[in-house]
Amino acid sequence: MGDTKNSFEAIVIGSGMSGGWAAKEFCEKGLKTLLLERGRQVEHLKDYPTTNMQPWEFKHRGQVPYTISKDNPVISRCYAYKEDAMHFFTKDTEHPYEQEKPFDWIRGYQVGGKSIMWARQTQRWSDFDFEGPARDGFAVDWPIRYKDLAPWYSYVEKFAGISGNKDGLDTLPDGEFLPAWELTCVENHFKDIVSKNYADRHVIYARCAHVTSPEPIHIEQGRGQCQTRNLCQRGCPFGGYFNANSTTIPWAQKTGNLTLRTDAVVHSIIFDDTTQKATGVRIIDAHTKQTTEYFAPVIFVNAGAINTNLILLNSVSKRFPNGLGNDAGILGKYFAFHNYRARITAEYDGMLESTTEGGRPTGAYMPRFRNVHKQETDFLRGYATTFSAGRQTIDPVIDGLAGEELKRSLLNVQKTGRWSVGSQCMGETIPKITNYVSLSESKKDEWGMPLINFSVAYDDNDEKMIKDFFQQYTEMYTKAGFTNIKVSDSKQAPGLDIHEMGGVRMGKDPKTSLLNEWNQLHACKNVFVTDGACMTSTSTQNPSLTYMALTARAANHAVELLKKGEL
Amino acid sequence: MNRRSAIRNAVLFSAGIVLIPSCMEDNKAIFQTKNIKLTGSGERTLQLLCDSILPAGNSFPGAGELKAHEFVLTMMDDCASPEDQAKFSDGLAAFETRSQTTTGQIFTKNSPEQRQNFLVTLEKNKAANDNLAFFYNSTKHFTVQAMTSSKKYMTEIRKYKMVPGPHFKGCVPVGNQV
Repeated sequence: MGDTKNSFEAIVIGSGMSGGWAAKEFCEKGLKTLLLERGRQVEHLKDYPTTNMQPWEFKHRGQVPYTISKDNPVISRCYAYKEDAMHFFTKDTEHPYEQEKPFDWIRGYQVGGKSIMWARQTQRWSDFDFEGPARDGFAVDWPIRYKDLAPWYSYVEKFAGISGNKDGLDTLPDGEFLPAWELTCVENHFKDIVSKNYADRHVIYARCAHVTSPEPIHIEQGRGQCQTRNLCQRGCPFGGYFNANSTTIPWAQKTGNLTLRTDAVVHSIIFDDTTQKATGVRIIDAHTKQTTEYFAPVIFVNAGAINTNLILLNSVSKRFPNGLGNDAGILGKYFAFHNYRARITAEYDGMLESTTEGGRPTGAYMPRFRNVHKQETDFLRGYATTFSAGRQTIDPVIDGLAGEELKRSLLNVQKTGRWSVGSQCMGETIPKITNYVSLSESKKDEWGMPLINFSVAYDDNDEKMIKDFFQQYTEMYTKAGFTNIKVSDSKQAPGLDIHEMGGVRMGKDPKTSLLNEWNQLHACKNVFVTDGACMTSTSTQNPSLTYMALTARAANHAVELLKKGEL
Repeated sequence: MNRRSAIRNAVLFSAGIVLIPSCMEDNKAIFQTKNIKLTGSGERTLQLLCDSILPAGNSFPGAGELKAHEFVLTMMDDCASPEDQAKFSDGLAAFETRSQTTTGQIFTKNSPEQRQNFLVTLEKNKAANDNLAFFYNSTKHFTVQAMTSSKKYMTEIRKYKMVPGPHFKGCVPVGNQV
């Protein structure tokens, strides 16, 4: 083992959504922990340069300059890549990759990762999700069930601060909730129509990681009540939503046990053929390109699903010539994502005497209702959907006007138009061996790492699901009296959903999976993977909450094993 | 002969060739662009066009006070493709030519009525697939945006609040919302 300066009791690779949790758990339990981050430092409050900027203070009023969007077409397709938050996204040119098939890889290389800019939706999984692969005969059976994760959902929800209602649904278990915001009049109208017409469909308030009413734990974190600014992607001056920068990382730092090493591109995990264990991590300094090795008895890989696959694939040894823990030969395979192509919008002419007041950083949500208890459609699994309804702000007429008339028109703002309603389909995709990430055979990046290559695509199941979403929602919208119903298929490439998952899946059998029920590599037990890479199937929920719960659970298990001398 | 070239000629005759460089400066735009080709007279035309699209008065600042022409140039210079930047520059030249052939005088010499009438014809021409329509439509679009994204407009007309506060009401009678 290396010198003491480079030796720790735990190493966590990646400081984002899940890595922050691993660091917090280890530090709280007294372990000297090294947290590695490939990007730069972003300190809560201090490094949110645009957070208090008014809209008119942005030189281009939010638009990204042409030369940047031209050179970076992938990141420019991300909905949040705007002038106010573009500094938190990784440009295409900063870390190139190969696309055997088109894949939009959205990244945020910095302390906090994408937890700074995420959409903050936090719905639990249920056993209808965990039992999916076994029941429907795809992927492999999850080695865990809802009861294994439930206490850890509660654990992370209380700390992160989740706003929600107890809805009593078996498809979407209740959690530890801070107060919910209200649904709008038309969201409640839709909820009523849906529950009258469909026994198994429920419109609920979408649970989100916002502190609507701070508990003592949030005050202790230095976070305050969400002020509904809806500018979360810039970082929040109130700490009103959960990100690693405001919550898990400072908590870990407060223990005095954390060493945060930024600008550290992980090259590989070091495997010792004598002890048959991983001993540490080899990093390359992002700027000096100098190699350094760090050592610890336990290593958590939380680099973000794709970079986690990359690191493991690049960690070759005599024992593991095809990547660390890759006895099954499926590392990088069964890669999946969420189908976010389909949307529906409409208008509503009723309830024109009512409107909303203030902002709200969430909306309504309908959990999956297709194929829940049994297979009933010509496609597997199903989709969850968002639902939101608000009064339109009518833009003043400008067409055909110039001069005095135009100016009068602009000053005559009608406050409210009709109601606009809309839903986004969030479909489960089926992990397949043919959907994979792999290492480029010839090309390397500036740190000497092979480029990652994507071969991930939609399939017939996804197409059928989109069709069903359009049919079902057109029917529900029609029943609700909505008009001007429009469906659209963005045809966007996989990846733009920013819910990339799999490649290092959990499972019971080392022959068909890489991780066991505690997220340990079957074949190298002191390496844990608890980010999106570990996912055996995708379900329909925004996955971050599940990564957090899996991470806290695995980290606490790792501490127990360490205590028992079993790692 | 317009006023500026008259002055330029007068200066040339009186001071001779030594002053040519500084006289050439006279046709240099004040607002610095990196990509858009812009002369001083083009800039003055653009500025007056913006003022004509959104005149001063009516209890709200016009394009002049809002520096709308600078915003138009900023957006075209930084956020438009090279093809669109060329169309914009060519369209500005076409605008100057068309206004001169229509009225017999350059745009900056036109009366307010002549300018307004010219804008009316351009509004009718706005679906045309030519550089002039592109230039006019872009200029109008960003001039309007200069107003609607200004602090005064957003806070006074749109009642924008960066920090609305923690409470959200999902259903209140129209007109009663704060």
